Amino acid sequence: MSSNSAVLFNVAKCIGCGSCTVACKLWNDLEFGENNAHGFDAKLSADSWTVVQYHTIENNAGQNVFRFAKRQCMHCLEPSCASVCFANAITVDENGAVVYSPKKCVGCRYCLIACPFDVPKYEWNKVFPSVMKCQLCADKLAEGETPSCVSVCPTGALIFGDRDELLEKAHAIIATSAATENMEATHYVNEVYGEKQAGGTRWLYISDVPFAELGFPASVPKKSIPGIVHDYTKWKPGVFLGAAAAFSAIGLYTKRRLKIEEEKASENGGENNV
Amino acid sequence: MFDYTLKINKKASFRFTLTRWILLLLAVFGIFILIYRLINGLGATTNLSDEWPWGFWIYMDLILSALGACGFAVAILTHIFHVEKFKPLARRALLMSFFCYVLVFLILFIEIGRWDNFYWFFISGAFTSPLYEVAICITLYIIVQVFELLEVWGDRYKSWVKHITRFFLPFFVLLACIIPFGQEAAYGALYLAMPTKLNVIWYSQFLPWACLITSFSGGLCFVAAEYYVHNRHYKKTSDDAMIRSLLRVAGAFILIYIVLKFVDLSVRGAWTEVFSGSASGNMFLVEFIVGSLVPAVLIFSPMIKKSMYQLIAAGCGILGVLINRFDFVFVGMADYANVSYFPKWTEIWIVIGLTALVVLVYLFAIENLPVNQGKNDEKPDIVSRPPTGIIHLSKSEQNSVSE
Ligand code: SF4
Ligand code: SF4
Ligand code: SF4
Repeated sequence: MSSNSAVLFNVAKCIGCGSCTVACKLWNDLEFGENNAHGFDAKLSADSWTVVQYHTIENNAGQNVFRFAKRQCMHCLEPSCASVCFANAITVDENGAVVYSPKKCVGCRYCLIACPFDVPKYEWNKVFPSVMKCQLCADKLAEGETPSCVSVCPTGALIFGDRDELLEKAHAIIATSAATENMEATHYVNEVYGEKQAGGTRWLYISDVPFAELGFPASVPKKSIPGIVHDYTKWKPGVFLGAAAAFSAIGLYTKRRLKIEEEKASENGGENNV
Repeated sequence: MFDYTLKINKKASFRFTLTRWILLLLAVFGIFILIYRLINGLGATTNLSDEWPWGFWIYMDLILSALGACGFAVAILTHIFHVEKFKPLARRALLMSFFCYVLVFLILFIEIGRWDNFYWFFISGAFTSPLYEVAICITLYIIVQVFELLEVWGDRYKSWVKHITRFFLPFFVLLACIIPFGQEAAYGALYLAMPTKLNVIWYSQFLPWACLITSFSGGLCFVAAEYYVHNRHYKKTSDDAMIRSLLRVAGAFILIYIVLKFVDLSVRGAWTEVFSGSASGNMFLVEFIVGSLVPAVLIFSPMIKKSMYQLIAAGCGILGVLINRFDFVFVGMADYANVSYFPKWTEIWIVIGLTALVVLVYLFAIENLPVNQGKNDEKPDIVSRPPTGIIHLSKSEQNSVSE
């Protein structure tokens, strides 16, 4: 059974409880280290595949409000990390989850540097380290279950489902909020973060505050990174074949010319080229 | 008192001097740290972090590969374009290039975190990854170079090896001239995957091709510089006219680069960033002036007749490549990383040790292989030079000297 899995995160509904971060650690057997997985200074790390970052932001009405951004691997439709992987250790499974397999990883860390959302982290202190990142609970998806973090969310800020349906839903929520005259009601930013970024991602975000203020990278191109790299790679076979053809032709030609010159030289009295 | 000659057999020997003992010491030290790194992991031996997953080692790989381009740049001139006057350089450039790539390979091995999984990438077939392209092309290239070097070795030590390898040589030389197009360009392509991270001055679809072009010029400058240093070391006379022509070729590539980089920056409107006074802008100006404009002016002015200016031009050409790679590996990525990185002493000393080791082997090879002669020893040397120093002469060399 394959599916077009996705998760919609509604920033306006999140209360920052951090349940999802705990659920993730429990399911994936990650350590509860000193670093908080939710809070103002929460950062993704090898132990924290998902964090809830706290932000104090001024909203439309000029009030300072708390907003919380759950961060984890975005599960790009065309993942940069998988396309640049040295050893095909990162692959996309049949549900769309971007999954890492430590058995194949050679540890080049290209995935870390090539992810536009800075998601993969490395176990620097291990002798044989692995790359650490959210797997979209691929093992649960395979069983037809929802991801661990989604299943524990008490407010419904996280919804799991089909990507197309969730996108429709997200746009519907934005449209209704835009239509209401009620100043008390939540007014969403007219963008679904993740719909287009990096060619589209499986984690989608809607928010009533600008995404940039929640720490989401604003400059991520719409074009997928594998697409950008392919703009280079596609020339390569031509370059190789072209060079081979050109070099063979030039080589034969110049060699022949050299021979003729040598013959001429020997006709003109022999060894004057020594 | 440090003089000691290691006799391997009748034909091969290696003389240790004080410098070479020091190199050996560095090599041993480096290898100890290398083993320490393999046992203790990256965290204990490097300053790499999630913010700077790539650092000094990747940089070394980039510049060594760029300089290693000397082999195929000269091979294209001598074996594709059949420019006879460069033939005396062909084997030497091949040897230099070979050792550069061996060093690249060694560094790549310590650089990856899971060296126990090293073999995986050979079978993975990750064709979408520029890094895979780099590694596969380097591997193939080293194999081809080993074959080419077998011919050189057979030339002195085993004539049947020479005959067999010579039969296949044209094919391998052709391969050797094409494969490096893969890794040289792919090094630039590595950074195409960082559109939000690399500074706009360098981030461009032109980057891989810029790396390819500058590797030609850098490689040729490397040959020229090595030629002078080498001749000085072995107290031999230099053929200034030949190096002048060689630098002209390098200069042509530098000119092509200057024009294309100019167009590239203009098309993308990146000049404002260049003159913005930012670290990236300033470093780019340094790179462009020192590494491209200065050598271009020197090479195409009458000054280039003097060997001193040749050496300066070649040095600038090399420096240009070193700064250019430094710029897009470190300077252009620093704003995004937002934390600083400086290699740990272990990172540096492993590289120093491995380099010392490779230099020693290089010296051994160059003193015991017939690299300093015309390619076809049926024909007399094209440039016969007084064979002084401790180079052992092959029969044909001796003949050409007595003529
Ligand atoms: S967010 Fe980063 S790690 Fe996750 S799939 Fe996309 S590129 Fe890969
Ligand atoms: S570190 Fe591992 S998973 Fe990441 S790109 Fe390299 S081989 Fe692939
Ligand atoms: S989907 Fe699974 S692995 Fe990913 S953040 Fe949620 S619980 Fe963690």
